[in-house]
Amino acid sequence: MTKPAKAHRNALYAAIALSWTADRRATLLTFVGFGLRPALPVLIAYLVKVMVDAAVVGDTDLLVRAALGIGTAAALSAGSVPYAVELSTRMIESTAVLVDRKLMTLTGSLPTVQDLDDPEVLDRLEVLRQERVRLSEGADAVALVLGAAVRAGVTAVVLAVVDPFLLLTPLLAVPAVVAASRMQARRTAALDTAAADARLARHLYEVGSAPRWSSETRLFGLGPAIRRRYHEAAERADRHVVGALGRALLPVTAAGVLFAAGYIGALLLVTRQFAAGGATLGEVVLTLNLVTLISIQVGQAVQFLAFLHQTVDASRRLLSLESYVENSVARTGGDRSAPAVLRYGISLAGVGLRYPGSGRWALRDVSLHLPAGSVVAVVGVNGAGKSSLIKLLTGLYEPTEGTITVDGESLTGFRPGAWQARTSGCFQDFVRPEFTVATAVGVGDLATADDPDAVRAAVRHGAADGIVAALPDGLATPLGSSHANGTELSGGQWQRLALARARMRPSPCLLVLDEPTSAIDPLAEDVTLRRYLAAARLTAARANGVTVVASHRLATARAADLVIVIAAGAVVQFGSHQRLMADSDGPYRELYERQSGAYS
Amino acid sequence: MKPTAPVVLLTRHAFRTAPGSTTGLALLVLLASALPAGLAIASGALVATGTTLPDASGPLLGTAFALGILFVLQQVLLPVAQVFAESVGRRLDREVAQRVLAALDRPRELAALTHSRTTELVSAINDGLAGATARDALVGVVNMAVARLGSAAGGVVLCAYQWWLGVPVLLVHAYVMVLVSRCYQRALASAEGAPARFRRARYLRDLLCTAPAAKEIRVFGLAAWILDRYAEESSRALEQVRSTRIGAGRVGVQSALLLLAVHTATFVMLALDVRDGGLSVPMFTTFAVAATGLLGITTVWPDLLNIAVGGGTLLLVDQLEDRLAHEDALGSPAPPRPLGTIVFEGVGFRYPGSSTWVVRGLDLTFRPGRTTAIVGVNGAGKTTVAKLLCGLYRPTEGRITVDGVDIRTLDTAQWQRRFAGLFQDWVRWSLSLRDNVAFRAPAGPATDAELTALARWCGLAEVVDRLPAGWSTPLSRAFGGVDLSGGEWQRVGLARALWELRAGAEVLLLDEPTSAQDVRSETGFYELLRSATSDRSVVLISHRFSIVRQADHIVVLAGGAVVEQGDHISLMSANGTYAHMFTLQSAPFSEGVRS
Repeated sequence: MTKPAKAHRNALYAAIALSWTADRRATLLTFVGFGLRPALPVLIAYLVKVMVDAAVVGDTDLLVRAALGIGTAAALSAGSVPYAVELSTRMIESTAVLVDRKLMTLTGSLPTVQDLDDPEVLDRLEVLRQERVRLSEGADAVALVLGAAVRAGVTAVVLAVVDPFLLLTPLLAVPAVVAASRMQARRTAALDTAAADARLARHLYEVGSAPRWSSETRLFGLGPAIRRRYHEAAERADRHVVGALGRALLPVTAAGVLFAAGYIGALLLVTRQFAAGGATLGEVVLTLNLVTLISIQVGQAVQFLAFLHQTVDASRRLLSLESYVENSVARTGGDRSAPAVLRYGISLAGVGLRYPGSGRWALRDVSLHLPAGSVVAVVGVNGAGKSSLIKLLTGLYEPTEGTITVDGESLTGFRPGAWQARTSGCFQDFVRPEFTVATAVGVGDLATADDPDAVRAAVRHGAADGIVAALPDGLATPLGSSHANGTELSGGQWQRLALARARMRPSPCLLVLDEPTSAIDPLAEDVTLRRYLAAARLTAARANGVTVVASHRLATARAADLVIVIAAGAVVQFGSHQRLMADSDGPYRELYERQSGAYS
Repeated sequence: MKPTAPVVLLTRHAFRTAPGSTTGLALLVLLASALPAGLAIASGALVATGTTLPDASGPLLGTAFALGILFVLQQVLLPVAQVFAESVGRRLDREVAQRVLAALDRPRELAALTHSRTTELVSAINDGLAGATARDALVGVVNMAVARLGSAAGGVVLCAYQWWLGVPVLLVHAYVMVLVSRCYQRALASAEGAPARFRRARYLRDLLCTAPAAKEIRVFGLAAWILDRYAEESSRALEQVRSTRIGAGRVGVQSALLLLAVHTATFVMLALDVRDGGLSVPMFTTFAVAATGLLGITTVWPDLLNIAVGGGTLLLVDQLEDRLAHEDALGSPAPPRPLGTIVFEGVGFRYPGSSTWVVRGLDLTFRPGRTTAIVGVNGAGKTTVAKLLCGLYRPTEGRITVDGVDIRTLDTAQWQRRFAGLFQDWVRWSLSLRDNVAFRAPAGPATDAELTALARWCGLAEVVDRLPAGWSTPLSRAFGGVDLSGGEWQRVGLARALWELRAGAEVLLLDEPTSAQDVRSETGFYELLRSATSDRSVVLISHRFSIVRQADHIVVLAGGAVVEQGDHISLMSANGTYAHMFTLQSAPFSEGVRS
């Protein structure tokens, strides 16, 4: 992935913009509060100087007024704390939501699924997910740094008034700040290196803590082994990060010593001035107080800058993800609209697919024409490439080589999402959408999702009416554990809803079904699929669409117009059931006879 | 009961995890906290020597040097403590994760795990671990402790001036700190309640941001729609969370008035004392620095949020452990080896709190060495029978016996280990193929030779051949390896179960082992199974009658009850449910043969 220079410049601005967009009022007030409050200690130090000088000349009136001033500053300083907390909490909460939305928008606009298979993209998403809190607290960090800067400015002005030479002291603090920045940079680099181990640890933790796997972990007695492996992976990651931080402490210490030398120099300078009559006693006390304050400020500035660095890093990651997504969208998008009705069909010419990071071709040299209006079955052993072919047809993956055309137009020439809008499907790893039943089915076609008749018809087509009837609130029953009172369904029940969902779109140009009945009842599987296909054929006729079904049930192939036999990533046979059966040495006939033989 | 303060929780847990390091860290924090008081005293000394002694005298240089040392320490000790805290905090994070895993591993039966309170706790903990972690919280504790203890040390210095002034000033500051902290306690309460309230929003976020739903989201164009739902759910959750917080106004005014009073009083008193000559200017400097330093005690940093969330997560972990602590089932005798005949006697099961029986009145016999197939439509209770058999569920009524002994009286953990199960949902480890088959190697790491023999049984050999690094290839593209297809994964699952059988399990439980298999692997499955398991007992749940028909004994379930049992021939001649189902599934092929 590339990191454009633009991203570096704008990272800080982008972090502030997040909070500004999320909650303008809270952000503004946080900036004002956090920006001005740190100047109060400098004011107090100045008032102490006024008091010392007034005491020397015996000005009681001034003494009392300065004391009252200190009291007021102290009151302002502490009294504003609860407001500041409330405001920054509000700001952080709102920003967290906005950051989530941003991540969702970005992931959602990746045009192909390929991107989400890329380990590098996954790593980046994972780090962002982990460091999300840095983004939501980003403006907070900026406000704190702003406050530190305001204080540094005020301190510098006051010191310059006492003696311009004293301005050298804050300058000597610069290496300390630089050392802290370096430490942050090392932290980021270490986090990046450790990301793979951290991800492994999280994977182990997730499996070990998910109720879904608890049967297996119990029967196989995996608990202790999971914990041990989690520990190993997490410790490797942690050791790496902590080690990098530890090594960065040496420059921090060296910079601290340098600053201390400047501090001693400043104190000696001002006491000498006093002895020579060039400074008042109040100014000696003021210098002492201010320079000591600077030391605390360096500590804080370092801490705030560290905080800010983390924000900028996270923000940079977000921006780089943004530009990656932009590139992806630009790369894939044409500007033509997809056809409403198919005329010739879908053609593949020399199509090959290799998954990111894999050296093996999942599919290669596939050249086929799927005529408009046909039902095509894809058969083959596991891993032959059936699912890959289906993913390519839907445009969810881009072919590594070759082209796919729809009525002669290349898939890449369509507007992003335009071809997908003309397709529908039920995948092997179907989604279990945790909404009401009506919505879980209805999202198959958002345009008619709220139409109860359309949803009921789809439910019927998916042979899911039995499931719906048995649920307490029928179509209105909430599903899944993310609802407080959600109903859990079995794999077969979820699959029927997925089948129903695939029937929501009224006239798709392409309907793909990848092992669509694998979790469905034995009694019903073949029958369900054949009925489903027959009904889908009628629907597809409206757009003269192609239906592609991958199934290892060869009974399904018989119901199709054409059969594609795939083996080891290549198409080995293509034709009607009758034609393929006629080839007595062909793999299709062998498979078919083997399966039917098991029942006779 | 008042919840324990998150700082206390964090410290306690850190100490329990790493007593030595935590003590060291505490000492470091104490040392860093003493520095402001030291600086206040040394400042006074410098003013005294600087204004009374001649230029560049020994005592003046000595005092300046002492100040310099304190000054260096003040800059270095905090970063050192922070790195130290990060190290201890990361250790604590690991410890917390392992404690969660251990707690969830403790109950032998699934009922305790699937209880809604348990799942809520786990999801809240996982959200906490993903956000501000214990390590962030611990670094926050160090930052806050150095700031607050350092300020408090100033109050102690003030006592040296007039104890009757120092003590009340310190108390008022402590009170204001408590006021402000209460404000944040409330924020803590809302932060604790937040994960549950954001559960729906989180689901929607993960739905869109993770890979599993990516295909359908793109096909159906759902991204914008999910975003809208997220916006609705999150703003509702945010509103609820905010309604539990009370405004900051009263606390702010109260704190301001109290501090106005004590600071004005302190400085007026110091001022008059200096004017009247009762207090030297150097001493005044010391006390003024100490008094203004006290203000730091009321400062609030963003660390507080990390502390609240991190501490809150630890509290949830404690709760989870308490919940699951009594779920051990140890101390009972080990089951006999080899296992004899297992009998279900009038077994019924329903989920706790549910009135619907999943299965009821089951009378079944599992003889050693026999293959028993269980068939039935979806929801007939097939998987429930399997889970009752291996002790993952406990019968609500009736009993299960082995050689006449109720299995309830036996050690459940050991009972479960006698079953090698492949359920419909099996773990797909993002680890090497070797680890996927033999994750928990019984005696040392599994050798390739042992595994290769096993792979031949399961049709996995050809998969191994094409993997770039053979058995060591990670089975996940995200981890630099290769993704397998559904059917290949299923064979990995099968190999895993057979490995377990080899490692000492006695009964093989297979729930739809061929659902993702193609014709070629399916047709030879039964022979393969028998040769791989030789004399072991097999319980097979399958939709595929081509496999089921070959079993020694077939149990037909319907509506949670046994409707028929026997072998294929007797069931076909009975012409009942089984015969009907078998005919229906083979029909498409008989038509095919005719045509």
